[in-house]
Amino acid sequence: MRVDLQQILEGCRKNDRRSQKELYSLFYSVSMGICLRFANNRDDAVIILNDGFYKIFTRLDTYDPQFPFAAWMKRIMTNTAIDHYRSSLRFQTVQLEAVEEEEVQFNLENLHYQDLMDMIHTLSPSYRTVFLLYALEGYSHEEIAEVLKISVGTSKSNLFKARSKLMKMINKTESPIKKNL
Amino acid sequence: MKEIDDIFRQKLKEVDYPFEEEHWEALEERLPERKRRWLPWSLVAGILILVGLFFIYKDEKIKKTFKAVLNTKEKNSGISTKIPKKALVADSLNLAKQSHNQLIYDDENDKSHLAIKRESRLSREAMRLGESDKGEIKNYLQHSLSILPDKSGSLQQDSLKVLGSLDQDSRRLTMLILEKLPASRVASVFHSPEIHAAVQVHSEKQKIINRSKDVGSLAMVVAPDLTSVRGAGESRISSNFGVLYTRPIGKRWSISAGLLYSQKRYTSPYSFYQPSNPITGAYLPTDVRAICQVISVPVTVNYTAWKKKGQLLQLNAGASSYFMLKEKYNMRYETGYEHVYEFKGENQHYLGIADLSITYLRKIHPNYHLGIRPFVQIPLQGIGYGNIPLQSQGVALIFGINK
Repeated sequence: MRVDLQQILEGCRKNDRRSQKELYSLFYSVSMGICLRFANNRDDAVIILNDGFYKIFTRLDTYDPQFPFAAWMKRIMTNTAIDHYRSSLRFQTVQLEAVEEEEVQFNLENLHYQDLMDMIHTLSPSYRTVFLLYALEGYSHEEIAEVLKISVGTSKSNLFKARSKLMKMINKTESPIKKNL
Repeated sequence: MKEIDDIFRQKLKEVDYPFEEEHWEALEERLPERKRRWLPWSLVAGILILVGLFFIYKDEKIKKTFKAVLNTKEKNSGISTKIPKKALVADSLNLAKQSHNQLIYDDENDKSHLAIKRESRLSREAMRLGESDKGEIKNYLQHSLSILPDKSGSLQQDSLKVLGSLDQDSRRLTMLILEKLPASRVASVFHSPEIHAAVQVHSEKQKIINRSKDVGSLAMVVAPDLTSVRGAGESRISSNFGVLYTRPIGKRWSISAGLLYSQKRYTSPYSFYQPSNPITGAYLPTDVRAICQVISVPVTVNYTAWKKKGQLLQLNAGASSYFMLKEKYNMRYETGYEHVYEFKGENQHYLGIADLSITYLRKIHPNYHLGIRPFVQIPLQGIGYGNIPLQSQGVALIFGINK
């Protein structure tokens, strides 16, 4: 079955409740995924989710139909998550020179969704946010620096810290085969 | 280190989060209030009520006018109390008898032959009547005259003189002839302008009297039915109740309009659903149980195929408009998971359902009748959120009130 997204959006512009619900249910899964990753818990995730959709419904006239709606929607959802936690973010900085990269291979079969979500939530909000923005949402360091009001260097160092912590956690549960130590 | 990114990107994005109604409800409360629309069904109901009140008021007004005019004429006119001259009485009696004979032996091939024979029998009975109907005939004439337009006032007086001057038998005979035969037929037989005038009086009177009698009837309807999605094969019991107004538009024809509240229940595989905004996702529901609250507005044309001694059989055909008040769809998935979709006042289907029925009515009292109506409802368009072909078969029980 094909979804006529333009028809749904047209209904949403007219504040038609049915169309709004259709749009909500259509993008619920992907939006909830974003919110759950950024939020500390499920309740906070639902708050972010609905704040994001509220913005979407009330600012739909700013959406340019020439661009993919999903990308616009995800950007709003991510920005809402950032707004939600901006006041509580405490960013730490490390010197970029200290960063050493290593290439590893993991047995993906043994890593499950909930395990990874648990790992994400053990990170501090600052590390988590930078990691999610960079690794999952495709933000550049410059963009992260702008939206989080931090420096590019801070963004890079937080990403490094986040990755390091996550790798340690994965190592504890798996036996990674390190190719280049 | 970048492999970490890939692991999380791959694993975290592949998860599907099922939609949760309560989350939507929480948001819905915050959203700006929707502009209230005039619900078409309330407009239709309002129009129906106004039309009904108009006819009732109009008929009451006609009756009041009759009474007022009649009272005025009785007070101001000496016509009804005039004593006819003997010559006029004799002429009129001859005229009436001559006309009576002509009517009986006129045209053997005339289609109204049976009516004439019947009239003859009535006329013979009329001839045997005594003096008991003087008051009745006088009132009849006054009443007839009172409802004619003012411009024919002189004609009224002439015809009153003629008819009023006849003796009892002749008056009775003439009145019966006038009452039973079509005006054109009587006019072709009677050559007297006074009788023609009387025919006009009678004709006008009959029209208005009939109109005042045929204000229609109001009926309460209770109609259980079996509702199903055409082709799905599973029927569920649904209920309908409401009111139906019927107004005659001819000897055998009438029209009805109603307002019914229905609770439609039906179950079908999800494959029958063709919503304009379909459900997306890897898994689709297997089947759907629906409960819909509907206001239906049926409009039907009725043909009386048989009528005898307070009983009649009607054939009814028409269409109903559906105004969906509330639709609740319980979507059931293969895994046992269930999800409920609800819509309020979002779908209207104008003349979207064809109605076919047969009605048997029986008078139980001069003012009341009972009826039974087996019916089928055939979809002319997709109904509700799922645009499904919804059909019903049932039996309506009718309790009617004649005005």
